[in-house]
Amino acid sequence: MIIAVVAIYLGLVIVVGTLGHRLFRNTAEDYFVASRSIGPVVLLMTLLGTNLTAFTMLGASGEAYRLGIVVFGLMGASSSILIPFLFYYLGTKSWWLGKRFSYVTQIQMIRDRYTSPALGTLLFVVVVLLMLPYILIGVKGGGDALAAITRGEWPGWAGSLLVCGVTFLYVTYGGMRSTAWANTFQTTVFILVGIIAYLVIMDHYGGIGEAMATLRDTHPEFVVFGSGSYTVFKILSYLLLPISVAAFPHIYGHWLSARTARSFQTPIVFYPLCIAAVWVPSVTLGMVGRIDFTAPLNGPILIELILAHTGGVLAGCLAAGVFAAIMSSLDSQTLALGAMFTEDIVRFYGFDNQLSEKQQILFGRLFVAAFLVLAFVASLFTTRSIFELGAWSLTGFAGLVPIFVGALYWKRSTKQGATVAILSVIGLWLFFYADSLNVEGAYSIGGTGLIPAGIIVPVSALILILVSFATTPPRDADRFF
Amino acid sequence: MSQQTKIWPLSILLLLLILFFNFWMWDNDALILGMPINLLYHIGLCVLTTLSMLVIVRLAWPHHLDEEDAE
Repeated sequence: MIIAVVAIYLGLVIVVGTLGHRLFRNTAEDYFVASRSIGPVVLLMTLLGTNLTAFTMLGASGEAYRLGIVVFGLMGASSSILIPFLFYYLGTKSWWLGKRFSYVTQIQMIRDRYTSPALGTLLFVVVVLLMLPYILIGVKGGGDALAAITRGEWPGWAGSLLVCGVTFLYVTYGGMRSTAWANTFQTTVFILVGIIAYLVIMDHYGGIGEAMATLRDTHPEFVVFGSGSYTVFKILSYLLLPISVAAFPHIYGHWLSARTARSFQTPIVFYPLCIAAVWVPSVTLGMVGRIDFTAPLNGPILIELILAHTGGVLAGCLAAGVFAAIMSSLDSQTLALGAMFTEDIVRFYGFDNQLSEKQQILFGRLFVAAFLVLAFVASLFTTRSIFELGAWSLTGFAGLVPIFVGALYWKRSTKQGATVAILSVIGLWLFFYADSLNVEGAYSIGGTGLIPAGIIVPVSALILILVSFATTPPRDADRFF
Repeated sequence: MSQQTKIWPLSILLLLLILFFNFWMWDNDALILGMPINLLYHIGLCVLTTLSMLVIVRLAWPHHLDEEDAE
C-alpha cells in the first residue's frame, strides 16, 4: 500500500511538472527563470517548497522529540519573522535588477555590480561547495525515509533513485516552469500530509490538550523554553541561520522568476502563516512521541508514530510528503546550479558570452542531469554524517548575506570589501568546522552554545564595511540604485 | 531608487524580534487552548508578523519597481 501511494504521487508530480512545459518558449531565460512570468500564489508556494526540506517534516519532529517546544521558537518562529523581510528588501530589488539587466544567476549580478569577474568566480566556487552537501542530504534523506517507512523492504538507494529520477524528468524537460508548477503541487501535498497526520495521531492521544497535559506530567521540561538551557545571547545567534535564505542561489532563481515586483506581496504576507502551518504539526507530533516512545528509536519519530497509530495509506502519504519536501528543494537547487554552470562558467569563460539560446538550454539540461547523477552516486557512498553538514552549509550561506546586502543597498561597498568578506567567511568557516571535529555532533563555539554563524556573519559584515571604506569607491554603481 | 526604499519597516522587524525574546515566560508551563503557552505565544507572533507585513505592503510598497518596468 505504501509503495502504491508513493507511485501514484510520483506519477502526479511528473504529470504536473510536464504540464508546465506546454508554455515553454525555448529560450534560456524561460528555462532558467520562466521568462519572469510566475504569479503571486505559485511564487509563494514555490518559495515555501524550495525553502522547506525533509528536515521540516522529519528533522524538526526529531528535534522536538529531543528538546521540546523550544524547537519551534528557535527554527520556525525565527524564520517566519525574518524571511518575509528578506523577500521585501532583497527579493524585490534582486528581481528589479534581474529584469533590468537580464540576469538569471546571482553571480551575474555580483560580477556586474562590482565589475569584477574574479569576485564572481570566487563567489561561484563558494556557493557551489556549500550547495553540494545540501543537495546530497536531500537525496540521501529520501532513500533513508523510504527505507524507514517500509521497515527496510525497500533499500535506501531505491528511494534516492526515485527522488533523482523524477526530479530529472520534469526539471530537464520544462526548467523553471515545470519546477514552479511541481513545487506548488508538492508544497500543497506536504502541508496537507502534515495537518492530516497531526489530526489522526492527536486523536489517538485524545486531542492536543490531553496529549500536552500528559506530556507536562511526564516530561515537564518539554513544554517550557527553559531559561536554564537557553540564554538570550544563544538564541540571538540562532536568528542568524534563517537569513541564509537570502544567499541561496535557488531562492534567487525563484525571485527572478516573478512576473512583477507586486508578485512578492503574497509571499511576503502569507509566508509566516505557512511556516506555522508546516512547523506546528511537526513539532507537536515530535513532542507527543515522547509519551509512548523511548530512545533509541528505530527511525524518525514521525515515521514511528504513523506506523504505530495509523494504517498503510497514511504511511504512504507520509512517504509522499517526505518526497514532496525533498524534491521541491532538489529541483530548484539543481536548476540553479545548472544555470550557474551554464551562464557563469561555460558561457562567460568558454564562449565570451556568445552562446545560442538552444545551446544554453542544452548545457542547462546536461548540468542538471549531471548533478542528479552525481548526487545519486555520492548518496550510495556517504554515511549519515553528511546530515551534520546541513547546519554548516546554512552557516556559510548566512556569512555571504552581508555581501548581497552591500551589493544591493550600499553604493559605497567595493569589490575589495566583498572579496575580503568572502575570504573571511571561508577562513572562519574552515576554522570552526575543523574545531568542531574534535567534539562529536558539536555545532557551537567551544561548547558555549553560541553557534558559528553568530561570529561569521558579524565579522563578514564588519570586514565588508572596513575594507570598502579603505578602498576606492566604485565608479559605475549608480545604475544599480 | 535606494532613496525610495522605505527604512521604517525595519523598526517593525526590530519590534517583532524584541517580542520574539519572551524570556519573562520561558519557564511558564501553563497550557492555553491545550497548547503550551510559549508555543501559543510564538504562533501568535507568526500571525502578528503576517499582519505587520500586510501593513508594510500597503503603506511602504516600492511601487517604483513596477512603474520603472512599465516605462
